[in-house]
Amino acid sequence: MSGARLRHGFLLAGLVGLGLLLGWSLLNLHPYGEFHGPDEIRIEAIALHERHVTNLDAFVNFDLRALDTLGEEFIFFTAIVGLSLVLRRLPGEAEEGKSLPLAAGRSAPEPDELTRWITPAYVPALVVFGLYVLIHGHLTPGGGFQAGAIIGSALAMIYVAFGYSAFSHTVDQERTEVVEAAAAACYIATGLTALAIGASFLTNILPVGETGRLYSAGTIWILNDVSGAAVSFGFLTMMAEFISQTHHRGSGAGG
Amino acid sequence: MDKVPYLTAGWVFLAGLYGMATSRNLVHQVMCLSVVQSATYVLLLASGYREGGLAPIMIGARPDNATFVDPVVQALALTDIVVGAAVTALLLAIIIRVWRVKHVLDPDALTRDES
Amino acid sequence: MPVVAPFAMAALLMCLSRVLDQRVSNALAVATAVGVIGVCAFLFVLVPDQGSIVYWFGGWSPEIQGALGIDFAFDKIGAGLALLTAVLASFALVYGFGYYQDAGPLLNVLVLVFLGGITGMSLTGDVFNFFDFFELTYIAMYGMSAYSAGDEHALNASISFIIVSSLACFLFLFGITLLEAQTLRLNMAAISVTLAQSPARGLAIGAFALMSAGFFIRAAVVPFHFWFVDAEGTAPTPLGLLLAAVGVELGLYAFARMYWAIFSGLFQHFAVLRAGLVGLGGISSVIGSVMCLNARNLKRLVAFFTVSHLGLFLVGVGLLSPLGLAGVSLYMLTYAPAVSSLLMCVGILVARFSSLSEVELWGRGRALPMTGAIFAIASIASIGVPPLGAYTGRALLLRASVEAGYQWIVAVSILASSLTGAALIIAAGRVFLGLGPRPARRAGEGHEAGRGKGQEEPRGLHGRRYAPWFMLLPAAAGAGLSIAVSLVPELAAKAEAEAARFANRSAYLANVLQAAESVTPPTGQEDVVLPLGVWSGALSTVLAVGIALAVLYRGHLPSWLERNVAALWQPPLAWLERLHSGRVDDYVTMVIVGTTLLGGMFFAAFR
Repeated sequence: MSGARLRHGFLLAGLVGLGLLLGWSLLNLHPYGEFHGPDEIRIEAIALHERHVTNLDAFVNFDLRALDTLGEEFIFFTAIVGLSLVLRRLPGEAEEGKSLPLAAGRSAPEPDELTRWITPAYVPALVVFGLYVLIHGHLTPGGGFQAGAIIGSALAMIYVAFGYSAFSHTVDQERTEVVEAAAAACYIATGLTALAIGASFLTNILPVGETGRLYSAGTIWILNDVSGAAVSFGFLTMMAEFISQTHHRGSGAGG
Repeated sequence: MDKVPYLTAGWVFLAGLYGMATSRNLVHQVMCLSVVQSATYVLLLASGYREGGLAPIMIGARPDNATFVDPVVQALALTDIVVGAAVTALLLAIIIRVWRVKHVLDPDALTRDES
Repeated sequence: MPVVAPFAMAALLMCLSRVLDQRVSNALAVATAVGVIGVCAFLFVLVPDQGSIVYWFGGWSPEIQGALGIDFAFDKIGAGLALLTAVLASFALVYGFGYYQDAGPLLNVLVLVFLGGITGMSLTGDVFNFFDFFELTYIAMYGMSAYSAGDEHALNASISFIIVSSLACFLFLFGITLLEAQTLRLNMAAISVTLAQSPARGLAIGAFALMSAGFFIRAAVVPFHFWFVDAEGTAPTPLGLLLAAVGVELGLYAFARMYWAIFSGLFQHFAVLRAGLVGLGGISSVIGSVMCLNARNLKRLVAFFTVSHLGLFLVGVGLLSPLGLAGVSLYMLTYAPAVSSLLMCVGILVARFSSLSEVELWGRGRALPMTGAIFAIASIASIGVPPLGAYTGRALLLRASVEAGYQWIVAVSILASSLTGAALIIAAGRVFLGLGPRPARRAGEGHEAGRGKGQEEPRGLHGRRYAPWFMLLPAAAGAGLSIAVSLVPELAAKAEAEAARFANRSAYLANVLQAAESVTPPTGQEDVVLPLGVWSGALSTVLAVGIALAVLYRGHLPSWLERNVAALWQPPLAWLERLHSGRVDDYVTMVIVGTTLLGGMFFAAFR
C-alpha cells in the first residue's frame, strides 16, 4: 500500500510546513492580553453617548458594521435556501417515501418518559427566555443571532420528546420559510429608509431614547429584532427539513 | 508563554485539517471542518482580549473609565458562528442525500465522473 | 444600490414563492438582474476616469472617528466586474427558466444572492466586508451545486467543492484576523497605512500567504483546482457558467485587490514574487491545457479550459505591473461571456441527449444546428483568433510579459491556446459534425459514461427539434458579446490607464482616508495591435487546427508517428489522471501542501 503511505507522508510534510508558517505568524502577534486599542475607548464613548446603547457587540453588529451583518444574515438565508434545494422532493420520489433508510441493525431511539414530562414545561420557558434575550439585545448580552438559536433549539425539543407529528403540527415549514424571508427583507427596508431621508444606507436615524431603557438605540433595536426573527425562523425551517427526512411511513404517533 | 492562546488556535486548525484529510466517514469529515472553523474563532477572540478588561456590556455598576475587551472581534465571531452552523447544515443535508444513494458514509466510496 | 436590490428581490421571491406564478417569479428575477445591469452601468460611467468613488455606510465617515465604519471604494475595474457579473447573472437566470418545474424559485433566489454578493465584493473597501460578500457568493454556489441531489457524482463533487472552498474561507478569515489583531483595523486603506508602520512584518507575510492560498483555491490555480473541475463537471449549467466565467476570476480579483491595496508596500524582492507567481500561472496553464485535450466529458473539458486560461490570468496579475493587469482585465472581459456561452451550449446538449461524453454524443449534435453555430462562434472568441475575442486581452498580456522579461510566457501561451483550441475543435467536430471515425472507448470507460447525466439539466427537452429559446438566447448573447467587446476601439489603452489606477496604492489611500478626489496622470496611450500578438495568435490557431485534425483522423497518420507521440503522451497523462482522484482527503492534502509552498515563496520574497 505504498500509495497510501506516500499520501500520508505528503500530508504530514504539508502539515508540518503549514504549522511552521502559522506558528511564525502567530508568534508575531502582540502579547495576549495587551490589546492596544485606541479604538475601543472611542467605541465605548460613541456607543454610549451617541447611540445610548450598552451592549457594544450589538452596537458593532447593527450600527457600525451593519452592512456586514446584512451580508451574514443573507449567508444564513442562502444556506437554508440551498438546504431546501438539496432536500427537496426529486421527481420520482413519492411524498411518503421521504423517510431515510436506516443502517442495518439500527432503529430509531424511542423518547423516554422523563423527556416527555419535562418538555411541556421547559419549552415555553425557553422560548420566553429567547424572546427576552432578543428584545434586550441592545442592552444586555445577547441579540438577534443568539436568540434565534435559542428559540430554534427550544422548538426542536418538541421533536425530541414527542416525535415527528407533534413537531410538524407546531412548526409549519411553509410558513416559517415565508417569515424568514420577510424578516430578511425588513432588514433591508430599514436600511433603505435611511436612504430615503438622504443619509447613507443603514444609518441609525431613529431617536435614541434613554440609556438602559428598552426603547433606546434607534434602529439598532429594530435591526436586532428583525435578525432575530429571521434567524429563529431560519433554524426552524432547517430543522423542519431535516426532521421530515426521518418521517417513517405508516407510523402512527411518529418518532 | 503569553502567546499560548494564539498557538492553540493554530494547533486546532492543523488538527482539524489532519482529521479532514484522513477521515473515513463523511460526517466526521464535516465535523472536522467545524473544528477548523472553531480555530478561527479562537484566534479572533483571543486577539481581542485585554488584561483586566470587562465584557463589553455597559449596563450595571461600572466605573466610568473601565476598559473593555474588543467588541469588534466578538461581533465578528458571533455572526460567523451562526453562519458556520448554516453551512454545516447544508453539508449534512448533502450527506443525507449521499446516504440515500450509496448507503455508506465512507468518502472513498464516492467516485468522480469519468474524464 | 445594486447590492441591495438583488437581495431584496431574493427575499421577496422566497416569501411569495407559494403564491406567485412561475412566469411572474422568473420575470421579476430577470428584471432585477437587468436593473442591476443598469445601476452598475451607471456607476461605471459615474466613476471618473482613473479615479474612484468612495461611499461610507451608516454615516460613519472618517471625519467622525477615523475609518471605523464600512466603505465602498471602487474604481472602474471594480465597477466593471460588477457590471460583467450582472450581465452573466441575467444569462443564467434566463437559461434557468427551465428549472422552475423542479426547483421552484429557489434557483432564481440563489442566483440573485450570488449577484448581490459579487457586486458588494467588487465595490467594497473593507476587508471583512469583502470576506462577508465573498462567502455569501460562494454559499449561493454551494446551494446550487447540490441541485442534482440524486446523482452520486454530483454529490461527491458538491462535497469536495464545499469542503475545499470552506477551507479557503477559513484561510482567508485566519489571515484577516491576523491583520486585524495587528492593525486593529478592517478598512483596507487603514490597514495598509498601519501595516506599513508596524514592525511585525512576519505576521503580514504569513497573513498574506494564508489569504492568497484561499484566493488561489477559489481561482482554481493548480494545485488547488481539483474541486473546480469536479464541480463544473456536474453542476447545473447556470451555476457552471457563473462559476467558470466569474467565480474563479473573483479569486484573482481578490488577490489583486488585496495585494495592491494593502501589501504592495511591504515586499522587497519583487523579482522573486513575480517569478513565483508567473511560474505558478504557467504551470497551471500547461496542466490545464493538457488535461483539457484529454477530456471527453464536455463540461470537464470546459473546466480545464478555464483552468488553463486562468493560469494565464494569474501570469498577468503576477507580473505585478499595470500593463499585465490591464491585459488580464481585457482578457477576462472577452473570455467570460464566451465561456458562459460554451457551457450553455453544452447544457443544451445534455438536456437533449442526456449525455456529456464526446463518445456518446458523436454526431448527434447534427440535430441542433443553431447550438452548433453558437458553439463555434464562442470557441472562436475564446480561442482568440485574431483579432476577435480573447485576442485583444492576450496580446496586451503578452506584451506585458515580454516587457517584464518573461519571453517564455509567449511559448506557454501558444501551447495553451493550441491545446485548448484543439480540444474545442475536436469536441465541436465530433459532436456537431460527426467528424472522424467513431472514437473508441478507453480502457475503464464503462457503460456508465454518459448514462443518467441528464439529471442536472431540466427535463422535457427530449425529442424537440430545436433547443428552447430561453437556452439559446443567452448562449448566443454570450458569444456575441465576447466578439463585440473585442471590437471596441481603444479599449486596450483605457484598460491600461484604469489598471494603473488600480495599482496605485497611494492614490487609493488618499481617496479613502481623506475623502479627497485624486486623479492619476494618464499613462501613455499606445496602439496595441502588436505584431507579437498577431503572429502568436495566428500560430496558435493554426496549431490548434492541426492538432485537432491529427487527433480526429488518427487512423490516417503514419504509425510510427502515432506510436511515438503516444509513448510521450501517455505516462504523464495517466499520472495526472490519477491525481484527479475525486477524493476530498486528497484535495485537502493538496491544499495544505500548496499553502505551505506559497508561504515559502512569500517568505523568500520578503527577506
